[in-house]
Amino acid sequence: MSESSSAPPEKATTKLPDDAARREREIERLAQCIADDEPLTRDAENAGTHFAAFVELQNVVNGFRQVQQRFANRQHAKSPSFQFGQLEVLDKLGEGAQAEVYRAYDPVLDQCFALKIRRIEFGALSNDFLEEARHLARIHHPNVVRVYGAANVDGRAGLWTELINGQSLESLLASTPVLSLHDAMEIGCRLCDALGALHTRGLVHGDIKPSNVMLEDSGRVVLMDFGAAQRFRNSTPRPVTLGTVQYLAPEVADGSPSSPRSDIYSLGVLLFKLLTGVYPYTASDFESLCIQQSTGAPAKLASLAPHVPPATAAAIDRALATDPQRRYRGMSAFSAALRPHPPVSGMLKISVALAFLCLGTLLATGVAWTVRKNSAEDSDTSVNLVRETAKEGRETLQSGSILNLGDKLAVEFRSTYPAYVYIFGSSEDNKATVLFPISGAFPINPLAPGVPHHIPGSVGGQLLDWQVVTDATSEEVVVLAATEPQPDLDHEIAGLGQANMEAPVISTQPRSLARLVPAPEVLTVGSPYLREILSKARQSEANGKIRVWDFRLPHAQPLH
Amino acid sequence: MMLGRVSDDETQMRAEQNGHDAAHSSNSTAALIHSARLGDPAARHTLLKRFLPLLLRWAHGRLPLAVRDVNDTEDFVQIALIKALKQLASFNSERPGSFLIYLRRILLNQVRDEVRKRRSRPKTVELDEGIPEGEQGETQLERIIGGEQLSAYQSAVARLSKRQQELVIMRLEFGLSYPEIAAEVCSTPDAVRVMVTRAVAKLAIALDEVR
Repeated sequence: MSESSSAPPEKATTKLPDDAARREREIERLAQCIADDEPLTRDAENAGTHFAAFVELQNVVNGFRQVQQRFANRQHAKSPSFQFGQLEVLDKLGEGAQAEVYRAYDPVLDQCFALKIRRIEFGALSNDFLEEARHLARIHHPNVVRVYGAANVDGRAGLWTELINGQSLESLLASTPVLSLHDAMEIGCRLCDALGALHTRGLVHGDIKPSNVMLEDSGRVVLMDFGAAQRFRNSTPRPVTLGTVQYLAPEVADGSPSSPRSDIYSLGVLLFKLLTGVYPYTASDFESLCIQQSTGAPAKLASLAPHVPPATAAAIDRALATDPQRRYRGMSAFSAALRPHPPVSGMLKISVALAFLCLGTLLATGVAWTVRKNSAEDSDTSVNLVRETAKEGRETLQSGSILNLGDKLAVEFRSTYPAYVYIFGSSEDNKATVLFPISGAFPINPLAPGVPHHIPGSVGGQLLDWQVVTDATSEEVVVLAATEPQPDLDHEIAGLGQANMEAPVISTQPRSLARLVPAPEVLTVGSPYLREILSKARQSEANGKIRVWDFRLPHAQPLH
Repeated sequence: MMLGRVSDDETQMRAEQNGHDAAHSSNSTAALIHSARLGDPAARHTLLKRFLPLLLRWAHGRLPLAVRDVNDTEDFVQIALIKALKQLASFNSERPGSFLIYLRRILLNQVRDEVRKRRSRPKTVELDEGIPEGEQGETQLERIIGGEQLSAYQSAVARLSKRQQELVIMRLEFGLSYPEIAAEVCSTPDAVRVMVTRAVAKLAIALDEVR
């Protein structure tokens, strides 16, 4: 065919000047993203690459895909097995001791869900079964399955959650019994985050095992099945049969109630299995396991998986301690120990070209924030606040920039370390809004090092921006980047309003973003609401290194 | 009822093809078109089976919201496809892969007729209760993507060469995989990927120009 026999793009562009060749390559890369159904990512420089047109094109293609998916849903729904309330139950996805799980279609929402219906013969009361839904409803975390509803229909209790397109960790292990260190740590750290969110709410999962972990096709790790979840304060022991034998912590096997530390133990077993293909104890039945746990120590990870870094192996060994007091106190500490942070300085040189990139000392509500002064030589983080324009592409906002209603904004972020990024916005008279992380959107924390990230990210491959939609006279945006998870901030986020994602673009509450703060040695966050939030991330060793950027942007011509 | 006519046609074709499907199922689209033009009903039936699911999925979001019942959509697309297959003599096969685009064009014309009919329908006609009156003629795609964006996309596609239009439509609109497109255009998946990428790059530039 004529196209296939023509010269490859590299040859065609070698005669062009450098800038033109770079633009050509970038256009080809963006076109490849669209052609391959991959999300668009930006390079640092995209002037003249028709980026806005590519974004528009991706919106159109996403529309095509949505319609195709809806059609597939409707085709499924043409022959429902039975009705459960408003849901048309389509086909069985799986079953367990307590319940059966079905794919179900909601014609009102035009969406498929995973419907879990309690087995009639299962002895527990419907109310107990629906407790799982109540637990889930309290958790808003990207690594925890999202619940959409629960009901008692004709005497049968059911709850429906998002339908995860992917495979369970159990089925992955069936084909790949031992995972790479990178994959195992990725899964482990995501589960630490998810369990940390649970523990913050006073809940424990109680049944961590591969079949309860889903790996979405997009790469998202999702913790499922909260049937064994319970409050760990004032909780009573449950029958040990609710858990899976090899993952039971010794104290739970002895009859004690589940606790955050028993979840840490179970996660330790899971990681041990992912890295070695075997369990820390060889027993396969409950009685033998109890004997082994009480008479001997578990196998040492380092002896079975010498490729695992000593610090990581030691972290997993500590999680498997028979005495719960010898395990980590919380998930964030376990997560930090699992993947010790690589040295920050000297890994990758990124010039600090942005005038508003400020690293100094932040004083907030009496809490001193020691933030290191950055320099071009040891820069490890870059933050760029940009505005999307249809004709000119991306425009970097500078001090005094004036925004208009409808403007679309984003942050371009890059770091040399896995970064836990939090972005909050607040108008002068409004409470804070969480601009990032956004539930259901990608990327999620921590952001991968060494690559540029467009924040707020994308949903279903559709690139998102924040859009200015309401009136105010001033606006403040705070970007926080940390080397370690910030569980207190995660907890705070759950109680705040998120940027709204109903429209193709995210709408934020602020009216304007204008003057940027030059890089001072000392920063004072103006909004009391933002000060309150930031005080949650107190500087401590457990919280790692924290950097903060503060953008205070009064509007030049307020509308009122 | 529309479904009745389709069923008659289907019945007749099934009786005619009488077991020849298996022999035709692996044939190229071009070979099937050739056989169908010579009056082979089994080839016609195989073409129908091959393209009906694709066109159904494609048409689903392009029909007015008032025609949202799945059975309505199937009737509509089946009739359009059967009509197109009966008029194969008018199809000028310029190159491999152009048949799907030919079918899409026919269907698109019928969809537009349907949209026009819905939009010009007098208010006294009974409307779908679930859809606001002003949106009876709106399509699902327009609602999701936006009428202006969709129109700009279509204008941009029209600026591409015929071959590039075909590639873009097969990949972006029909969601065909590279191997599927390669089978249609008699090429290799790798070559198709390069061609699609180039077509998409030109499409984005064209989109910038038409806005």
